[in-house]
This record gives sequence, structure tokens and C-alpha cells, in this order.
Amino acid sequence: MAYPSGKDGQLFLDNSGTESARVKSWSLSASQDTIDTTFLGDTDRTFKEGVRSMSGNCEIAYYSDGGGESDAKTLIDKIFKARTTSTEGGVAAEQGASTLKLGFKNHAGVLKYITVKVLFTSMSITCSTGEIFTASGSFTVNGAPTAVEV
Amino acid sequence: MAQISFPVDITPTSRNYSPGEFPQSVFEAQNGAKTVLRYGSKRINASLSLSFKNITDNQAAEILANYENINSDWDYLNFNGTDVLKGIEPTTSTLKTYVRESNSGLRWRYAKAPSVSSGTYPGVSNVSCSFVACLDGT
Repeated sequence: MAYPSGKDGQLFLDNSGTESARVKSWSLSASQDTIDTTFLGDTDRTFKEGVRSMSGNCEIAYYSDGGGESDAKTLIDKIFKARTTSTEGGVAAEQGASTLKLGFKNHAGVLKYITVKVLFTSMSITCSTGEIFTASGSFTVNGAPTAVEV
Repeated sequence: MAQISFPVDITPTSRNYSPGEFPQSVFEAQNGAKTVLRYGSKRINASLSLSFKNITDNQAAEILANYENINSDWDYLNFNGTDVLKGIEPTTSTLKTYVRESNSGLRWRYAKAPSVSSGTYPGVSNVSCSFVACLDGT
């Protein structure tokens, strides 16, 4: 096994020691801002490095059996919050920070991963004919990764 | 009143210069005819705005110190040998003479305190400076 693929991917939610089951996909992208340092008299644009930012998304299929539900429920619960009291429509629990460990196994079966603290910015659940019920969440990474072991 | 140089190695990102106007009053009659009273033959109130984007915090501090030096004693600025005129080509262009106001008798001073903004990145500042050049009375 030289090229890891989707079947080698793993996702760990909120510091869980067990990988999330029924993960369909995860992705993480990073970008680096540049600060323009071009001044009068320059003929070519120059810049220095600015801040970095990262965001991504993950999709987990909803699955349930006698033992409970897959982590699609955990994802859904991140944003979909019931109102705190029945009389106050504008108040519900906050989302709170989440930790994602996004990884894959290399040729030797060793887990390579990036661990990030995230805030989910959107969550969509889809239930349609001919497809399984999935929860798809987009997130923005809060700060630098806590671990990069790739 | 001494001539003090602007910090040497700080190059602006943009520069706006206006040569100023000649001192005069215009009286306009009801029929639209204009009478102009000229009070002098030299330009006054030339203005210069410099924008420095993404310079270091130390360079921003140098500009602030220069502002204190100039305006606290009513000294005036000298842009000769600085990077303020960078980008004017050829280097012998008379545009440099205009912006420096070297032959007009006008003297550059800060029109208002420089404005410093930060927040892009640690150690990086943006500074805006406005200068006005006036004829000094004797």
C-alpha cells in the first residue's frame, strides 16, 4: 500500500480514542495571507507572510442500531440545539469548541493526522430518496493545529 | 527654525502632491464679471500626503519621532536624500524639485499628526502623513 485513499481515512471527534464510524469524507484546506510590501519605485510586487487560516468540512452517514447512533448525531448536535426554555425562542445552548483529528493510515498502518480545534460554521443534513441520510458540516479552524503528524 | 530630514529609508506606498495656489481674492459682480486681487506671486499651502503601508513598527515610531521633532520647535522638513520621492523618474525630473519645494521658498511641516494603524500582523503598521508647505514670515 503506497497511496493512501479514502479507505485509509479516519476522523476522531472531540478527543475520542475511537475513530468515528461511517465517515464519508473529510477535507482540510489551509491558506496563507500575504502582506503587500510594494512601495513607490518598485517594478515588481513584493510581500511578506501574513496570517494563516484553515477551514474544512466532513461528512458522516447517519447509522443506528441497538448500540446507538453513529457520530453523525454528534455532528448534528453541534449546531442543531433545542431552545433552552419553551417560552424563549431566542435562547439555546452555545456550540462550544470542537476538536477534530483528521487522519489516514500510511503503508505501515500507522496513523498520520492533523489535530485542530474548530468551530462549525454550517451543518446540513440531507434525507432524500435513493440516498442514505448524512450530516455534512463545514468548520473553521481556531488557531494553529494542536498536532501535525503527517 | 532648523531643517530636519524625514526618516531616510522609509518608502511610501502612495504619494499625493498639490502645488498650492496663489494668494488672491476673487470678487464676482452680479453680472458675473470677476475682479481678482492678487496678494503675492508665490504659491502657498502646497500639500503632500504620504501613505506607508505595511512598514515595521520601528519605522512607524521613527515617523512619529520626526513629527515631534518638527512640529514641537516649528522646524521644517527636508525630503532631500530620503525615499519619499522614490519612483519619480528620471531622477533629474523637475517633479522632484516641485515636491521637495526646494526653489519655491515653501517649507514643509506636518499638517496634522500622523495616523498609525495596526492589526494586519504583529510588527506591521500603516502610517498616513499629511504635510503642508507655507511661506514663513520673517
